[in-house]
Amino acid sequence: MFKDKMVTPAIPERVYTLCKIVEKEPLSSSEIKEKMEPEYLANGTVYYNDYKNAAEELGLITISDDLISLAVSPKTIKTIENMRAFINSELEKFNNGQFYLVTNAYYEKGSDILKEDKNIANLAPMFAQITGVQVDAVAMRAWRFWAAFLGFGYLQDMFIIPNANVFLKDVILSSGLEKGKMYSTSEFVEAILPMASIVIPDPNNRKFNYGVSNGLRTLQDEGFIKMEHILDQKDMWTLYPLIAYSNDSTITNIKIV
Amino acid sequence: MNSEIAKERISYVARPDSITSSDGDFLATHVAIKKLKVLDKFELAPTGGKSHTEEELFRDYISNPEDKHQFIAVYGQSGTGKSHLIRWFEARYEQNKPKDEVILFIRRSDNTLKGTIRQLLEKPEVQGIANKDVYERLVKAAISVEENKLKDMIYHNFIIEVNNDNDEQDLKITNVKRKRLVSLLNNEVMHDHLMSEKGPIERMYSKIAEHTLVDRDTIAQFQASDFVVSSELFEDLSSAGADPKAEKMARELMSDEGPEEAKKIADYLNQFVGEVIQRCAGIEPGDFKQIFLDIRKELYRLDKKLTLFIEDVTSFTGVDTALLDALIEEHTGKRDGENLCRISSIIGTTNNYLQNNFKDNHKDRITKYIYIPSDVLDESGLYEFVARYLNTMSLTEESISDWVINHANPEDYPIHDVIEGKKWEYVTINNGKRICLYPFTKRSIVYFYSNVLQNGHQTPRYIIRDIIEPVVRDAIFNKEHFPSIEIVNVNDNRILSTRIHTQISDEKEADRLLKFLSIWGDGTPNQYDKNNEVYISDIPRGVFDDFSLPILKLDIVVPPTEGKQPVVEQPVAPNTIVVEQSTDAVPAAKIKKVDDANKLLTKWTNEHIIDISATVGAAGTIHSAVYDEIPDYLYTAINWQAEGVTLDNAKKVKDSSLLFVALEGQTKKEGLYILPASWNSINIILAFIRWKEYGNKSWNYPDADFDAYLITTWTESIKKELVKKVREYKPGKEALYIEAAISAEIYRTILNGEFREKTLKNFNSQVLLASKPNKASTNSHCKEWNSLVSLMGQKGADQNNQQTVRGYFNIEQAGARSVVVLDAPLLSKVFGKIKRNKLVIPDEDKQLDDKVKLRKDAYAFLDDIVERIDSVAKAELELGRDKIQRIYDAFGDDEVGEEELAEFVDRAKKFFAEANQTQINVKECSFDGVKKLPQIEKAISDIASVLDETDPLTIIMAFSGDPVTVINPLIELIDNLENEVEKAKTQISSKLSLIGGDSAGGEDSGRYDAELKCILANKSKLEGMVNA
Repeated sequence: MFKDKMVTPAIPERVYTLCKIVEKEPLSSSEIKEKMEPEYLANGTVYYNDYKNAAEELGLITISDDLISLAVSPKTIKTIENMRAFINSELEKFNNGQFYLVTNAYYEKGSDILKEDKNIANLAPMFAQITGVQVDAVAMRAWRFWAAFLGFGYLQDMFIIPNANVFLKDVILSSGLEKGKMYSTSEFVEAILPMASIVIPDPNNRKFNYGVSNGLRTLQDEGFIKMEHILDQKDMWTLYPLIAYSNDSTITNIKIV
Repeated sequence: MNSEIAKERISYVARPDSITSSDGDFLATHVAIKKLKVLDKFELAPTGGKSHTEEELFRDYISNPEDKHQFIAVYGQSGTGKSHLIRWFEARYEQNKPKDEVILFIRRSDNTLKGTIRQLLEKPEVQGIANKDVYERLVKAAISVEENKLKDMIYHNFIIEVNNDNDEQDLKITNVKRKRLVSLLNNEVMHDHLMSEKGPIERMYSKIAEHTLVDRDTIAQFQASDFVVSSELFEDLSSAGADPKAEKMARELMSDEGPEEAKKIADYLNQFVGEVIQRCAGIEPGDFKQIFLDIRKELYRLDKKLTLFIEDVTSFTGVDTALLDALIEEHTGKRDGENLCRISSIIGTTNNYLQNNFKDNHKDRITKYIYIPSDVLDESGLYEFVARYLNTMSLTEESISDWVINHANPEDYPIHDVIEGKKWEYVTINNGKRICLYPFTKRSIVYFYSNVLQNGHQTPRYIIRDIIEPVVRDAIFNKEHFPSIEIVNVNDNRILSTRIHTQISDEKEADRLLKFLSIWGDGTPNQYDKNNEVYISDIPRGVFDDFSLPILKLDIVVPPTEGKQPVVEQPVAPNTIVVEQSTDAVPAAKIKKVDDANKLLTKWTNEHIIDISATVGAAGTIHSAVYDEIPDYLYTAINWQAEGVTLDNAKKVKDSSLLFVALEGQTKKEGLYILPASWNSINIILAFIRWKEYGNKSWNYPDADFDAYLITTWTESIKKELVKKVREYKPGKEALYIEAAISAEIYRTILNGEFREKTLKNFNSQVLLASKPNKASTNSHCKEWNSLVSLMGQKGADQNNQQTVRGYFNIEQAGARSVVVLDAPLLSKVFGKIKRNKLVIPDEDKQLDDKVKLRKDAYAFLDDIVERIDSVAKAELELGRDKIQRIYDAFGDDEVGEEELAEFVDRAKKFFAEANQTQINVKECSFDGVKKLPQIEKAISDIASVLDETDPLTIIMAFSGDPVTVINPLIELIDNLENEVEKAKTQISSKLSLIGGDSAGGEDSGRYDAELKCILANKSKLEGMVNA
């Protein structure tokens, strides 16, 4: 899922449920499968391996002698939000994977993505071309589940509206940035970049793309951060200009409120 | 402005009717009119031709340089300033009139019929006319009739006129039609219709009754629309039992030809208006004409000439024909052998009245037509018009009077001392005098003129009534909230709006500023420096202080050069991202659609109530957003499963009558999250509307980037609350319908014989989720049992409930339900609880009033079962008890095990074998039904185990496997066997009797006596031999 090809059945909630099942004790693969997709349901199709593989790729579980164990602390999966924050902090490990590359490309499209086909499955050829890896419609459909879950945007039917507020909040909280302290934007970016290159691939530009700018503005709207343009500061970054939002799209400092 | 003075003076100065203001105020507010047209023949709305100033017209026509008989009609749309112009002509003429000229100025301030006559008689020049006493008595005789009676008098006088029409009128209708019309007018429903507030009788009443307030240009006549019969009106007429003749006419008036027919009726009846009005006013036809002729005779006698200014000829409805006859009569003619004075008449009238009420012979006798176009004021004239009113109301009455007393010379025109608004714009009038425009800007005057005044209302009267008066009142009496009057903002600049609302938290204050910048300013989010003054939205910074308006920082732009728009400066930030705006133009119709929705939403934020139940118009546009676009979006945008809400629950809520999001004060339909009536909410709703309308359900339209940002950030802000509302059935109480659904499903499984165990211990998830339907087509359950099963199947309730149970624990992938991946921990938790509670949900925990119907259905379904389960269990138990008792009785024991059953079968078989051997004729019973003795034993045991049970669940579980069906063959065998045994006994008995054994005598007795004797004799012998 994250290392290679994206598959639709490996949705985050199934990965989470699997983790919760093995939280108390390791179980054999067949036992877990029987709990989640018992034979008597007569599904005809088995999805189990897809989400089990995703959980394993993400380092949430380990498999040894067909015995599946939780590979992270129970705290990591105490809530699904905890699991999301963990995955978001680990995403950079998969920077050659399909999910990472597509997410990165999606964000680099900026607001132009809004002009594209509203069914992202139809954007597969475009992303294949941008990323240089094979991306098909199924992969795009699978991508949307994780992109929405990890907080890269909001699913609207078959389209993702870019807004990285949830993802950014996770990485800010994981980054060790201190509350109440005013950081220069570069310091801020530097702190989150080990986890956020996926959406800020080129910090030297000092530009935040549309989805990241949306995310930062949303976090500001909800009072989580405060962005400021202090006139005598030279460390100036540019947000995607939403003139209706503000007449100043440049910022020099960010404070975690 | 000097608001201290203006507070006192506004009521006197800002009067839409120029005639009611004082001479001083009139002259001080007068703006010279320059676009007047002069015509020889009537044209409704002349275009082209030469324009004249009022001074030119005065010089050439009004002053009557040739001293001739003339009759000039001044006309124009309502409110264009006819009265004003006529008054100015009159005032101007007063200054230059020849000595022998008498000026009569007929005002319409008292515009009833009697009021008009009274004005004539009050003129000093006519105090000596003949019959004055009679006339005065006539007008002083107050009409003491009550309003309703007077209106009824008018109404019934028309009926009288129609009834007595002897075809003497110009317009005629057939006799049949006349009778139908009388019948229709006599109908109560039609009577009420024509007497309604906006009906014709009200219009006429206003011309008779004194002290009524009516539109001054009201024409007291019938209109075609008065007689157009709608289907509702016809229905009312019909249901009230209208006379057939009335109904016939009403039907005609309702048909396709109805409007044409209605016009004929209106025109026909209008012929009687004059007569009816005069009669009801207590004036005889001819009175008025006579009065006027008497006036002219008197003036001739005094060697005077008459110039008559009539502000509004519509005042003369009822006597207009007589008046016009009197006016057009030249002095050169003789009347009744008496001389009349020369008359020069200048009369004001509306286009419509002139066109329709002046007969052709009157029109032909009009010497000149003066036409006042609707746009009589050009832009500078408009500014001056407003400025003069502002100036006049800021001056004391004495200042104005002094000016007038000193001949009202323009060069002496007084200008008020500016107390408020020193930094506002000024208007320069003649002689270089400057008047401060406070509380207006030129831009705001143009805005009001273009956007607030309706079409046809862009005339001086409405400029005073709808612009000057309300805005000045707002500024002087409500300064801290200025501008507070409701004005439609057509300059809605989203950027400016957002800037303001993001910088000012007080929404009312933000709205106030937005209104000010949009209407008084240029509505842009720009500011610039010019001549050491900061201009915000093109309004000088200093102006804001006058109303304590907050100051914002907007986009700095290059100051405009004269006649040019400001240029937006390039942003100063480095590495600025260049945003290419889509050049795809949005169709005007769609922009209008969004604008209309915006207006309705703005109204909502003011009134906090909104009706969006309609699916068309602006309400329909918003309806679609709230009912469709927003819920569809939220359903996919919120990751319900990750938020701890099953998709089954979320979908049930979405499909319910509850909206995810409703508007504050929404008149129909409830919502889980209430969008407050605020500016921010408007933006959210409009974003969805634009997405649908501009982008055809995509984000591909100009400025979609901001809309997309808006709705995503809004989603995050409401997500927690909405998720909580979906999860809960009532505040603080989680929706637990799944428990009811599972309980009901377990009951269903038991009642359908799919689970046949005595306890729930082995009722596992497989039984719950993988139903295996019982294939048995018949059963031996009691009637109550089968009724309940049948009830559960009604309208697919059992299947729906099954789907709820199966779907609830499915971790769905975008709503795909065909493959189920279980949320095993959740299933285990819920299922365990239900089993522990033995399917019981206490009444207080039942959520039967859940507003989400599909969730409530689970409780209703369970309730249907629980309500009946006790009686089902009892009936089933009774049935079982009867059956088992039969077995106990047959066995003579209440412990019937497999051994007893086997022995019974064995003995029964032996019976039939013996019977066969001894040739007893019995019918052998089938033993097929009792081959599986362990099953029978279990069935007996199942029933026996609950004979003393009272718990219905335990009882129905005991009967779940339908044990009665299992034991029925045994009972049948017992029954049959008993029959056959009886039969065998009978046969044996019969045979025995034949051999005399047990015979108690009969026809055959003595048959073997001889043989018996022989045997007994031989026996005795043998015994003797043995004993010997």
